[in-house]
Amino acid sequence: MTQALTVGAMALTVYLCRTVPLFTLTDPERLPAWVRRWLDYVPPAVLAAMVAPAILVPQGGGSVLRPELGAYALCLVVAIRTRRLFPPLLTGLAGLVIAHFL
Amino acid sequence: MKRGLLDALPFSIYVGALGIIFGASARPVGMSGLTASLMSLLVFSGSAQFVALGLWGQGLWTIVLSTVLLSSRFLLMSASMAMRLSGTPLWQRALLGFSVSDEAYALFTTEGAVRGIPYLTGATVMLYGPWLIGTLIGVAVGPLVPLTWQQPLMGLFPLTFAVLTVLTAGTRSKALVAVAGAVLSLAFVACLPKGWNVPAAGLLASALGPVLERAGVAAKEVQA
Repeated sequence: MTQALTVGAMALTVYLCRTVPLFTLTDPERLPAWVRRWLDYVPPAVLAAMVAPAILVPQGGGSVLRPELGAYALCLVVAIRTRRLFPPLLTGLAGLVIAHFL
Repeated sequence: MKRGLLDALPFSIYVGALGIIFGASARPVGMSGLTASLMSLLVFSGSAQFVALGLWGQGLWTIVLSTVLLSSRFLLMSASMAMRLSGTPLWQRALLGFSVSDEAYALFTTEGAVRGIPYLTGATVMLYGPWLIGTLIGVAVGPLVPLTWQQPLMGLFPLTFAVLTVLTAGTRSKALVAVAGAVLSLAFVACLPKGWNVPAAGLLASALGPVLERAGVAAKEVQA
C-alpha cells in the first residue's frame, strides 16, 4: 500500500512539473517580450548544466583527469565543427572505446 | 515522426539499458517488481526513479521531496517547449507531458530545424518504450545483470548531451549561456544539496541571455 502511494505521489509530482507550464502558457504571444527572450535561452543553459557535472564530476570519486575526458573533448570539437548529431556521437563513442582499453 | 524515431535511437539504447538496471536494482532495496514497473509506467523519469531507489525505505515524504527537487527542471523545460507549441489543443498538451524528458527536450530544441508534434511523438515513443520494456526485463531477469554493465553505458549519456548542448547553442550569446550554465552547475554541485544544481544553474544562466543581448553580444549564427 505504501509502495503504491509512493508511486502515485511521485507520478503526480513529476506530471505536474511537466504539464503546468504547458497548460498555462498556451498563448506565447501574450507573454511579455523579455520572458520569451529569456525562455529562448533555457535549452542551452539547462542542457549544459546537466552535462557538465556528468563529465567533470566522476562517479565513485575517481580522478577527473581520465582517458575518457579526451573522448568527450574530441566529441565536442566535432560537434562544434559539424553541427550535426551523429558524426560527433560516433567519434566520441569510438574515443570512449579506445579510452576504455588505455 | 520518422525523423524523431531515428534521432532518438542513440538515446533508446542507453535508456533501455538503464531501464534494465533500474528494474534489476528494485528487489535488492525492497521495492517490489510490480512497484518498479508501475513507476516506469507512470513516473517515467530516470533521475527521480533512481533517487527513489536510493531512498527506498526512508519514507514517502523524503522521496516526494527529492522528486520535487529533481523535477523542478521540467518546469523550465516545459515552459520553453510551450513557446514552440502554440495552438496545440489541450488534450494533446496533456499527453505531451510525457514528452517533457531530458532527452526528448534536447532533441526538440535543437537549432536549425522546425520540430513539430509528430517529431516529438516519435522521439517520446523511442524513449518511453525502451524505458518500460527495459524495466520489465530488469525485473524479470533481476540478479543476472552484472553491475559492470553500468560503466560503459553511463558514458553514452554525457556524450549525447554534450552534442545536443552544442546543437542548441547556435548563436554566440547562446554559446556563452551554455558555458555559464556549465560553470554555475559545477559550482552548485559543490555547494548546494543534490538536485538543485540543474534548475538553479539553468535559471541563472538563461537569464544571462537577454542581458548579453542588451550588452551587444551578437545573437547571430555561429559559423558551422
